[in-house]
Amino acid sequence: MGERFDMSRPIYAQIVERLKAKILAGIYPPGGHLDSVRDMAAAAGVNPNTMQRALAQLEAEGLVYTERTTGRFVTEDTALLEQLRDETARAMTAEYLEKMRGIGYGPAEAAKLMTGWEKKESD
Amino acid sequence: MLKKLLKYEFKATARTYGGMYLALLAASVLFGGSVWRWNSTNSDAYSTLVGLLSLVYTAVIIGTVVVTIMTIVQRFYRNLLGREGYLMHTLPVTETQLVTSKLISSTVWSLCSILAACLSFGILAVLMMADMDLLGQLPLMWSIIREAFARYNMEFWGALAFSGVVGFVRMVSVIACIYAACMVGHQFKNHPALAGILSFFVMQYVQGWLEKLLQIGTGVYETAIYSAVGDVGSIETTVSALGYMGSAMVTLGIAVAFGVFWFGLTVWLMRNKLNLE
Amino acid sequence: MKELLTCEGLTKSYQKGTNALDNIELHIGFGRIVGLLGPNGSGKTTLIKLANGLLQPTAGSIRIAGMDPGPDTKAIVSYLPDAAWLPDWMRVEQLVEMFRDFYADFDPAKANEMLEKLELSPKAPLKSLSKGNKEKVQLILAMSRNARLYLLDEPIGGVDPAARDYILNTILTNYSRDASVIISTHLIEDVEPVLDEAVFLKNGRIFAHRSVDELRETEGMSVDAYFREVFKC
Repeated sequence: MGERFDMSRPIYAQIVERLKAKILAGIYPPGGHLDSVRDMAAAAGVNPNTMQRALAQLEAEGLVYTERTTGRFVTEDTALLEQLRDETARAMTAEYLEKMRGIGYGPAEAAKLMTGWEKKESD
Repeated sequence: MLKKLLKYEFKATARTYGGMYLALLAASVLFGGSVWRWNSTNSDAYSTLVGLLSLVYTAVIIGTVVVTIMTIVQRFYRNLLGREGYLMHTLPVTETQLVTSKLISSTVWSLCSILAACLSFGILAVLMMADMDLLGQLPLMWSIIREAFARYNMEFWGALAFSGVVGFVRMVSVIACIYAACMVGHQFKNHPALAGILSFFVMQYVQGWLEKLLQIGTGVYETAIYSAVGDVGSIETTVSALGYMGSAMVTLGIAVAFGVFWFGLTVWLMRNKLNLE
Repeated sequence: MKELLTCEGLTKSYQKGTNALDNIELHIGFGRIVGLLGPNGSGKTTLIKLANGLLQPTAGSIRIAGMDPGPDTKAIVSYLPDAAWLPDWMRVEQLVEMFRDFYADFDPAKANEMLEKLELSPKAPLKSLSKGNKEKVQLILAMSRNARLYLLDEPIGGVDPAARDYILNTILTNYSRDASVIISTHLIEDVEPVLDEAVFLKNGRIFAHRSVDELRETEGMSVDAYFREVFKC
């Protein structure tokens, strides 16, 4: 049923992360309509109040908005999405480099590894 | 809601009682038939069969009484105080409705059992006398009936009919007393069955003792009836100072009062002291 | 009316001197899915039975939507007991009919749909079903009501994982802001994602009553792990 979560962390926070990723990846496109809280909760296999809380947070961050009669939508503010995508990418890169440093790789070596990575992987 | 409860109560019990009545009628047909064959053939081969079937018939008659009583107890005890009580007591019905549905169905089935027994006796009698010239005997039977009517006055027949009513009320009252005893037994967690049986006899004893104490109980009324069977005139002499109708009404009143009391006790205990563990 | 379930000083003792439930204070609002968690013998079943009027409190009170347990509360409470309680001689479809007869909020279409999903034949007599299938039938009947309060006593104990997921999903899709669900269980891992509150019972007392996400945040562990720590032998 639903998705797997790390039960030692608040589930709403994990839902926020996952929804954000889906919005940034365009799985939920800008201006796209979101299912009802109940349906989203059932699909994820979580409590509707938890889903509600996660959506409320996304709303507070401006990523989704609610229209009184028609439901919830992903923001159409592409500038905001771009900014968030950039921030997220930076954060993930920092995390990655931190790990690389842990095994003695500097940013330059990491970048070298990256170049042509896609091609190598597909070999 | 009472109607719906009754519907399920009868559905749940129909198979037990129906099967039993069929067995009863079958036993009477077999037994009566064997006697009939024995009468007409005079063969010794049938005597063993008749002996055997008479035992079977007796057993079935006793069985009818036992099964009727057992079913009355079980339908209450198992259905309301056992596992099935989880369902029955979470239906949106009142305790009064629950007990009433049990009481009505038990009463109806008890009457049916009595009727079935009468029917089986009738079948038996007809089959046993099948060889006799029944039509030839009709005038004789008619004259016996006429004589009986002539011998006893209308008051007697009225009294007899009334005693039927009293008997019915007492039967209902005893069933209600069984239910009350089940509820009392339910209060004793370690030995509910034993406590229930004991309390039934204690309750019945107390009821009899109270009736006696009041001196206007059913006993007085019965003396009047029984002596009247022997002699018409004695009705007036035996019936207490209250007079015939008075005595009859008091008797009926007491039977009703006890029935209502047992019913009320059952409902009260169920509402306030139910503990399904 | 602010609460669906209210317990005040609720105490139940089966034998003199030992309390199965001891001075319980519990308030459950609307639109909540609550886990009633505790080891065997901690008082979970006793609490649920008291809410259904199957047991009478020794002291204190228990109210549902402000009412004492009675016909009015039974009309809005859907109960799933922890053991087989339905009359064995009835067929599944007869049971559906019976529930429809007695409960105004029962939805037979929903029940039939769930029966079909779980491949249970309506024609089958209850006594011919396996233990797990019997439990499924009982759960379907309980969940096919549009009740205000669902009291589910060990609803997932005896069923296979696939049915378990289906059941939990049913609880979620059934969610309504006017209704609350109380799930008693010791299989916390399975129900954890669907809960928003957890009530921990220990020896007849409420050890903790917390929001599960708040618990994960402050304790840094899952409800299941917390439970194991609290009830460590």
